[in-house]
Amino acid sequence: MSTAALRLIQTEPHEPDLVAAARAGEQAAFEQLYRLHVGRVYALCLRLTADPLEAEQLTQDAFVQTWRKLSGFRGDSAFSTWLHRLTVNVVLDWRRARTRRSQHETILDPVDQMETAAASRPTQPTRVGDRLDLERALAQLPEGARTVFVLHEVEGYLVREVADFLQVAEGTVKAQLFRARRLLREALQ
Amino acid sequence: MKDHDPLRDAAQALPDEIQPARDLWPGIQQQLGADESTSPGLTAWRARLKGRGAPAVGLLVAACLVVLVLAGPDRGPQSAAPLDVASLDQGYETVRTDVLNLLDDRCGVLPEQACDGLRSGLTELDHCASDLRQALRNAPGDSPEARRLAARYHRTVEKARGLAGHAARL
Repeated sequence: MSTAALRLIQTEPHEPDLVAAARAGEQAAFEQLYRLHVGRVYALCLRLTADPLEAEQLTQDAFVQTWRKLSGFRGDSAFSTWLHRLTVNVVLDWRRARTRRSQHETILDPVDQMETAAASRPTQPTRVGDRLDLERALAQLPEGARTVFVLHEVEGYLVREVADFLQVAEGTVKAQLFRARRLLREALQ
Repeated sequence: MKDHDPLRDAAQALPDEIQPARDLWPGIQQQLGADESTSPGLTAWRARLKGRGAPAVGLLVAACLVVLVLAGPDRGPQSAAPLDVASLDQGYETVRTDVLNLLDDRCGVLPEQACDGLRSGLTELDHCASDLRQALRNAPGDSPEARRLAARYHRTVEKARGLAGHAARL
């Protein structure tokens, strides 16, 4: 092993130690966990919501929930796996609450309209690679189809797990997946 | 075994990480501080207490009542840290000024619809912040209700910050 690699291992914080310290109430350790995982959590929130502002808010909510629930983390799975599942639940709970409290939505409507206006403007004349095309097509999918596609195809959850998250039948998830694939293929052709 | 599917391959090749446009930690930290009852240490302590059963809880509640009665109504520093509503007010006003300055700068070049959207967003957030300020004035000083309101106020500040960030990126 190279000296540089050895030094990296020695200086890299050991995640289980950080988790233990955060469980004991050390915010500095929790901040390090945040720095390690924020990219992954934000990517998940962004793909599920297709809205950068909501994704930022939900990322914050996910980490606040993580702090609150850290005492329930027993280490049966990796911290990242646990955090990831918690994030999915935070996004889906938010979505359910949003549906229930549609009046509350008016606060966000102007921002949403603004986002839509921004998105509908011509894009910059740059070469858009396959990845950005797919990200863009994903963002245009209906919410249900986007959710199952992101959870199953991007994040790798089983159909059964996606059905559990969404509290629907596996058949419903498969139907949404089929729809998502069809719409994506059309959008990317 | 799954069939080869270019769409699936492309989906799995998407990057695992996307960094947000701004640092979200200060907002998280403020929310952790806004509600001391969210401390994982405290939650763990509660869980242990629950495991020991109702008699222990009863004894502890009785002990707390005795301490509160002995300490009298003016407990001062023994109570939880006061909510820093003034800093939330200041935070909101600072971000609001940022948004207004950005609107002044950008509205000449942005499409009218985008500008109207930003203005209406800020107006809605102003109403929300004003309602929360009023409710905080009426809520008992360090009650759970006041903490919840403060947390919501903080979220409103964060939304305003998000709006400012978005306006800057447009």
